[in-house]
Parts: sequence; structure tokens; C-alpha cells
Amino acid sequence: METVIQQIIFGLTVGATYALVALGFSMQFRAMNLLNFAHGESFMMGAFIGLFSHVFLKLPLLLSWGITMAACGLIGIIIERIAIRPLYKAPPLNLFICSIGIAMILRQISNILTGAVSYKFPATLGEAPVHLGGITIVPEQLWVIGMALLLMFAFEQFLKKTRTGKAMRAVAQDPYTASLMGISVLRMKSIVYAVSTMLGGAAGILYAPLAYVTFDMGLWNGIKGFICAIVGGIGSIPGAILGGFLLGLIEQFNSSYITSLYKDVISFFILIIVIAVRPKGLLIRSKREKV
Amino acid sequence: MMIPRFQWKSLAVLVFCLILALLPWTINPFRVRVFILGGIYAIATTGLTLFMGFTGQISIGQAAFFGIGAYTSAILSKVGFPFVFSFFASGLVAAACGLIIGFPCLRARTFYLAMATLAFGLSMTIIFKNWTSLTGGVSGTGGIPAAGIGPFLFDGFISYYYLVWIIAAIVLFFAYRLTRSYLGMGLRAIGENEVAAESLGVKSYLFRLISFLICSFLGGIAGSLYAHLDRVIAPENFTSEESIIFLSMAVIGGLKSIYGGLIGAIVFTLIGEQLRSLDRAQVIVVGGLLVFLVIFLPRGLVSFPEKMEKLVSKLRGETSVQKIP
Repeated sequence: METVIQQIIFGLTVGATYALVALGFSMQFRAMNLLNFAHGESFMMGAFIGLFSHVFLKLPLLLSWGITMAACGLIGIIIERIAIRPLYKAPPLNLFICSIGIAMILRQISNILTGAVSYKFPATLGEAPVHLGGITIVPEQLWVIGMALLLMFAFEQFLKKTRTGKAMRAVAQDPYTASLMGISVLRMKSIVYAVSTMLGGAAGILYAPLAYVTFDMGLWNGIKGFICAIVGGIGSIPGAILGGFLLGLIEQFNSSYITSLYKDVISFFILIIVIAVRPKGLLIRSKREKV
Repeated sequence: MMIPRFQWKSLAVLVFCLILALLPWTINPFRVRVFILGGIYAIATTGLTLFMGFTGQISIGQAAFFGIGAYTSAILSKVGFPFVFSFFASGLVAAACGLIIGFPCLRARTFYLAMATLAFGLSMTIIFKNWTSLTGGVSGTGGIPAAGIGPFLFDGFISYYYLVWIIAAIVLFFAYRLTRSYLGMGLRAIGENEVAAESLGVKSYLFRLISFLICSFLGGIAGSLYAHLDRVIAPENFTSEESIIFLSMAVIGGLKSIYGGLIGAIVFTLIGEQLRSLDRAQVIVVGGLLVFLVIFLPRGLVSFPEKMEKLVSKLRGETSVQKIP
């Protein structure tokens, strides 16, 4: 029983970071009609910028969090301005291909800058296990889950309470009507891209102590974030969060009870099954397309 | 002055064939290998173009079929089967895998399909690496016999070059015929308007599945040719990065024309060869090229002459005339 609870906690820890990535995916898909292959790279950028400011510059943790998110947001704005904006009128396929190009560039820049070495990010709350009535908990896991939940809550409040958040939702719902209401659609799309990159960066810095930081971590985690977004229903924010936690749990149980070698194969298999059975995800009811 | 287009086209094809036929005698053997690779990639990319071009679907799993074909051919040849048998077997095994994966996944479209095929590709890489008894694990399989048809043995670069390009030519001719067949017309109709196509009796799901099978078959036979080129293969040749490269080739070449795959594969292989000195920065240049081309030449390199024509007539101050395709 105790081990099961430990597995659940570990699964939720990894799942929380997946959920943050999935949130960014979902938002970009809804507001920009963009399936961003480069979104996983924001995860990698966040981990590296955090590593750089916290470990190499020895800045305090909260400050490096701030720097990471600001830098990711800025990079997001620049990318959107240069490569994404010229393609809003093009077919979505072109946008997708373009994001593949962006992902290649970002990953390779990081490969060259960091020299393809894996780095260790120090744990925030320490990795010494704490025993609580038979259950062993690593404090770091609680930190990751707590921070992720906090970020999700803050994000939800941002969408619901602020003017910018409301404008973003309006653009996601109907860009044309939103533009009639005096909302600058282009600016909102730029902000959506920046905010989702910031969330990805935050997920990266959260995930960093759980594993090594490498230049190619973005591809895998980006794909897992996408799986979560799909499983929950792309475009749905509760769906993204549900999908994240679900995938984290499945992966954890799978690697400890079935096979760790083929752990990712099984995650991908789940994606394929979900796509085949419920192409629009678990939380979204499929609609017939209008002709 | 207006020269009819078809003359340009047939002249270009003729010149291109002539250059290809004479090429291996004018450059050194190492460079011949680059052009062999170009031909192999052209076959795999043509498959991708057939699948993606007409219906607007995306597949990021071509390297997996490439790998399945390569391993099938390697294993069968090492057991002692003749090249011709393992060549076709690799295509058929790849197509069978395409059926297994396409049957559930083709219910989904565009992005969803892209991610499903990507997941399939990533899983296949893991399987290639870990199914050691069959694939030789991370270090791969070596000692694959040279390709041979009857008494002829294609063990040199030059003879293999001709084999690969003759097969590529057959594939291209087949693709050309296909675009003008019932299947090709149906696929194009699906790409234009799926509901309208279905109302006219085009079975969308079946058509897309068939084109996916053709795509994986071509990926498989290209993989077989690849296995017999260096006669050693390893899982790192068939990663999802490779799939992305196949996709980039198809898009850079142009998806709406069957020559797109060919042009994309040759341009890409040559660029890769020229940029070899840049080492890791090579990927950055390729990625930048991808972004640039998608923005400025959205229909790929095949639309370059058309674009130039438009530009020239714009510079001359002529009003543009709508062309009837």
C-alpha cells in the first residue's frame, strides 16, 4: 500500500510538469490554430536558463525563476514576430512545418552552446527522503507538485480575471468578433505565444531536478505534453491538466510494474489508441464538421 | 514571347536524365555515394509526397518504415534469400506495418495523424535499439551481402548508383501514372473538399489508407536499398530526426508535384554535403531554410519558376493573367 502511494506521488510529480507543457500546447492551438512542434523546446530553454542563472551565476532561486520566465517570454515574442506571424494567413500545415524548423534551430543552438553534456540541477527542497508514517516522501516532489498547481491556479485566474486574459479567451473563441470589439488579435496572439512559452519554461525549471538537463530533453517532453493535451482534449484547459496527471501516473505504474525499457512505447501506444477511438480527446465531445 | 510549358518540362526531364546518367563518370567515388543516397531519399520522399501532397495529411513516421525495410532486407539477405526477394519483402513488410498503424490512425487527420505517426516512429526507434536478438541492438547489424540480381553483383558504387536511380525512375513513373489514375483523382478530390468527394462516391478513408500503404511501401524499398549501400545499419539511421528530414525534403521540394520529392531529396542531400564542414551548425542552417522557404515559397521549390515568372511580369508592369490549370 505504501509503495503504491509513493508511486502515485511520483507519477503526479512528473505529470504536473507534463500538464504545464500541455497547457501551453492547448492554448496555442485554441487561440492561434497552431500546433507548435517547437513548444517542447521552451521546456528545454527554461531548464537551461534556470540552470545558468541558479547554478552558474549562483542567483537565488526565486530570482532565477523570474529570469527564466522573463527570458522565455521574450524569446517567445521574438520567435512569434519573426517566424510565426508571417504565416497566419497560410494553411495550418505550413505553420506546423515552420515550427519544426524553429525546433530544429533552437535545439541545435542549445546543443552547440552547452556542448551536448548532461547537467545536474540541484534539488530545491533537498532529496533526502522523509518518512511519514511508513510512506517515504522526497520533499522535492511536493515542491514540484505545489509549484505546478500554483502556476495553474495563477494562470486560470489570469484568464478569468484580467482584461488581457479575457481578451485572450475572446480571441480563442472568435477572432473576428473579438477584433470588432477593439481587441488587437495580432497582439493577443503574440501574448498567447509568450505566455505559453513562459509556462513551458517554468515546467522545464521544475522538471530539471528530477532528471538531467540535456539539449534534447525538449523533443521527448514536448511530445509527452502533446500526448497529454490530446488525451484530455486539445484546446481544453482542464483536459490538459487531467491528461498531464494521467500520463504521469500511467508512466510511473508502467515502469515499476510492467516494463521500464518500453515505458515510452506504451505511452505512445496510448496516444494512438486515444487518437483512434476519440480523436478529439476525452473531455471534448466530437462534433461533425459543418460543410 | 510565350513558350508552351510542356516543352520546357520535357526538355528539363531529358537534360536531368542525361546529367544523372553521365554523373558517376565525372566525379570521384565518394561523391557518387552522396548521389546514391539522394536517389534512395528521393524514393522514400516520393512516397511521402504521394501521401501528404494530395490530401494534406502529415506523416512524421517515414524513417520508421525506412528502418523496417532496411532491417527486413538485412535479415533476409543474411539468411540467404536473394536480393530481389528481400527487396520486395521489405516493401511488403513495411506496408503491412503501415496497415497496422494506419488502420486505427487514419481515422484522425492532419495534426493528430502527425503526432500519431511521430509516436510510432519514436516507438520503432526504441524497438530497434532494444530488440537485440533481431536487430543487433544499438550497434546495429553488419555483414549484409551486396545486392545482386541473378549473376550481376552491384558491389561497386557506380553500378549501385545505376540500380538505385533506375528504381527511382520506375517509382517516379509509377507515381506520375498514379496521379492520373482513379486513385490519384480521388485523393485530389479529398484534398479539395472531403465531404463533396465522399458524396461523389470517393471512399475517403479507404483512399487515404491505400495512399498511406503506398507511402510505407516506398519507404520500405528505399530502406532496403539503404541497407545494401553501406551493408551495415544501426538504429541511429532511423530516428525521428530522420523522419523530420524526410518531411522537410518533401515540403522544401513541394508537396503538390510528384517531382517535389525528387527535387527536395537532391537539394537536401547536396546542401547537407556542402554544409558538412559546418558540423553541428548544419541543422541550424537547414532549420532556417525550412522556415524561410515555408514563408517565402510556401509551395516548395517546384513552384520557383512560377514565382519567378510572376515576379518578372510584375517588374515589367504587366497585369497578371489568371492561368487556367
